[in-house]
Amino acid sequence: MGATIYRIVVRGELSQRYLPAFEGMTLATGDGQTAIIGPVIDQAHLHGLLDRVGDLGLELVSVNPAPVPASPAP
Amino acid sequence: MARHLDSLLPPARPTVGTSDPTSTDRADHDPGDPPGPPSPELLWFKLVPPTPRAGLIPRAGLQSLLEAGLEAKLCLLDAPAGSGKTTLLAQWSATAGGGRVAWVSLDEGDNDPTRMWLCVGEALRTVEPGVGTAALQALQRGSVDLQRVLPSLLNDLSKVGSPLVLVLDDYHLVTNGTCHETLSFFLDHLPPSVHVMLATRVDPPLPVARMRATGELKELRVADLQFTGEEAFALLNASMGLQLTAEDVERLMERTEGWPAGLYLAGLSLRGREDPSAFIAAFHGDNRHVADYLAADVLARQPSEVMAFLLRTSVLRRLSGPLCDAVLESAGSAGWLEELERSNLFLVPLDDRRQWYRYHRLFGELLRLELGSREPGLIPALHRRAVAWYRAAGDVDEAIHHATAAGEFGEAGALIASHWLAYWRRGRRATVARWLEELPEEAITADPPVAFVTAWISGASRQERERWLAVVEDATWAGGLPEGISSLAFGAALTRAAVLFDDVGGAVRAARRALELADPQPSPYWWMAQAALGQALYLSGRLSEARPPLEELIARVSAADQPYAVITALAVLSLLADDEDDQTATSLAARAVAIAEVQGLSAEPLCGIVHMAFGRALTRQGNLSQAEEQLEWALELFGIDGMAVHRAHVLLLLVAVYHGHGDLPGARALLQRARELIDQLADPGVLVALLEQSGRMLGSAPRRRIKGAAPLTDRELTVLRLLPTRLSTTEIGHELHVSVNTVRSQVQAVYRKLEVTTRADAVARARQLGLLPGSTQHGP
Repeated sequence: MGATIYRIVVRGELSQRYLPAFEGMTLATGDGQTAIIGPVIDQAHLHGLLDRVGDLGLELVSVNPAPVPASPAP
Repeated sequence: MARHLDSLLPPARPTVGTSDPTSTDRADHDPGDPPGPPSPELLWFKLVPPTPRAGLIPRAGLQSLLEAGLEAKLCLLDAPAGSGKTTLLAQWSATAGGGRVAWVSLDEGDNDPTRMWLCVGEALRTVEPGVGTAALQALQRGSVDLQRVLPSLLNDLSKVGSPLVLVLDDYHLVTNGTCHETLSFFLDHLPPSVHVMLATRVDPPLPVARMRATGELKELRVADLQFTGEEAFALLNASMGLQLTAEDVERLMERTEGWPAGLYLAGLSLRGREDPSAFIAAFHGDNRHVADYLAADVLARQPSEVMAFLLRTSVLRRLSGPLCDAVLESAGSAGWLEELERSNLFLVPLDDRRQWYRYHRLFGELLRLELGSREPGLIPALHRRAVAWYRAAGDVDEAIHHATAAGEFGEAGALIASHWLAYWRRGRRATVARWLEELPEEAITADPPVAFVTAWISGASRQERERWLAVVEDATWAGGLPEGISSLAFGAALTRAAVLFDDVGGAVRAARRALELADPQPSPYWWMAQAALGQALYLSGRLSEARPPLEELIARVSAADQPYAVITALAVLSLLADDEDDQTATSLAARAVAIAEVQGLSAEPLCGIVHMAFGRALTRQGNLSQAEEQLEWALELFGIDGMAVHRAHVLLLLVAVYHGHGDLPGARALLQRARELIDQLADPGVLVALLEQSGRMLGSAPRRRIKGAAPLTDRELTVLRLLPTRLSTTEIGHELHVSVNTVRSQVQAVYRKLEVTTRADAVARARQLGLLPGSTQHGP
């Protein structure tokens, strides 16, 4: 069972000091938004990350599994 | 109040080295653990509204919205972190509340129904000292049967004349389903003079849509809580002493969108700046997150000692001078705390004496982030020092939290293994479960004594239990064990014997093995194994062998010391009582139930046999409605697949109840369910014989008259009085604060005793018998 890469977008550009709050994820900023991107093992993990978003007073914009890269050659 | 508050605390722990047989310290890991319960002052401040900071701006518009909220039953303040919910409620409670506000600051530890309602009960008593006495007594004993506790509390509240407001702050920290269900029930039955205000970051799973539709709900949401331009102007200039132009304030409003925490941080950041407009312009033109930008700036502007203090103490959930001194390994923290409060830096005082504080939740998070990026290596050490302090203060719960946070899983495990039994046997299962949840699975796997606790606690799923038992049984472990556990094999055998799974013969062998492996000195665990042996022998049909170990246990052990062992023994002895000896069966089971309630074990799955035995005894006495209640309760405790033998046993006992009701189809359906379940058991033991017996019973006609019948019980009389009305069964349940099923079985009991089959006949017969007043028509 593999993890799914998720892309959680919040409003405002976050500095890298927020990284420890989202262990195992990377932060990509631009256009007044931050994408928190990384592998999510299961729903409990995802909800945990969303709770952190709430704890930090961040405004959630979207949550999406990252698009699967073009289908691997058979 | 202090007397009651003791019960909010972890159960009293025995002193190390006394003769108290419940002492379970794992001596080699846990030498210096101080005796006695933690000091009560650690928790009383949960029931006091945070003191509003000096110089807060009055938010008149919101205050009046809150006032309007009082017209409804429930007022919901539902908005993200930093919206000023707590501040607003504290301000309102200090001014308009008029001493009629019962306040609870919820925290992670309150995600446990018993504890949450203890807090609520105590909070209500700070306003109305007379209410909730009986309810609190029950809760203090650890009773988790809230459907019984809450009606008594509600009844007390209904007698309170003047309006009263219950505030539950930080309700989003509560996620336990039973907490939500019981709060729903409480709201449904709330007397008109009582109002509830909930502050939360997420919509609670309460029937809010329904309440909204019926006008019973008022809401203040994020848009309501945002600052207006005027409020922002007053905050920054009048309250924080800045001299900003209207244009500056407007830009800040734009940038923060009126987010209270953002504006407040901006104010702190602007203090003492030469050119506020330039700072505001730079901030306005920046894309960084408001809190990120400002918090970093505010911190950077503090003297380095202040910053170090803020960052390093941010690992604490609560702060006091002595605790901070210990964590910082310095002196003078009490003075620092006062100073920080004076300069309005993030601190919320928790009491008037200024002994305990906490960080504002959002700022606390920001401080921890900063600490994580500046001094990540220091964090475990800070937590370790907090562990030492909390251990010395006797607060096991906080010590375990910090040990886990420090990554000191071995120490957390040692504390859990030493203290779980004292918590568990006082009905604090949810707290033990939380400790275990916070530990990473690998840490439990690596610590077999903790795996043993997990196997014991881990609820209804057989798979889960088996998984942890496998860890315990396969382990090679050189570390210490809790006192009274001679070996891991003993712990595993004990668990198998008590849980039984689907194999009664296996349980007998496990119990015998546990007793062989046990310490020669009878410990609490030894007696638990003895009780499990008696239970397993009974279930495997070796009735005469079962009796002696249980009788010995009852004779030698006190219920206060060994509640689990004693109630199990009493319950099995009750089940063993001869057909002729209904009196003995009832009195033994009633004793067991009473002890379970006193010790807070009446909702513990491993004690479900108590309700089973009582249900059987009540059935024999002809008290079918109560019998059914007890058996349903037992059935619920035995879960879906976890304790299959017990489950099948209860089903068979319920067959007798349905038979007694005269509900033959229902009884046959139950019998079928029991048969299917028993067919799947590896060793069903005595259940095979009981199954045949039940089958034979259903072959015969139901007894027309119940033995020793049939004056109506008080409850049945109460139901009877509502029968002439047009209330439906559901409505009667509402009226009496009991479940529909209870009403249904009580109504059935009334019909049976009156020998009627319809509601109209019951009313007519009751009037004939003088149980209801003449032919007076009762209103709908």
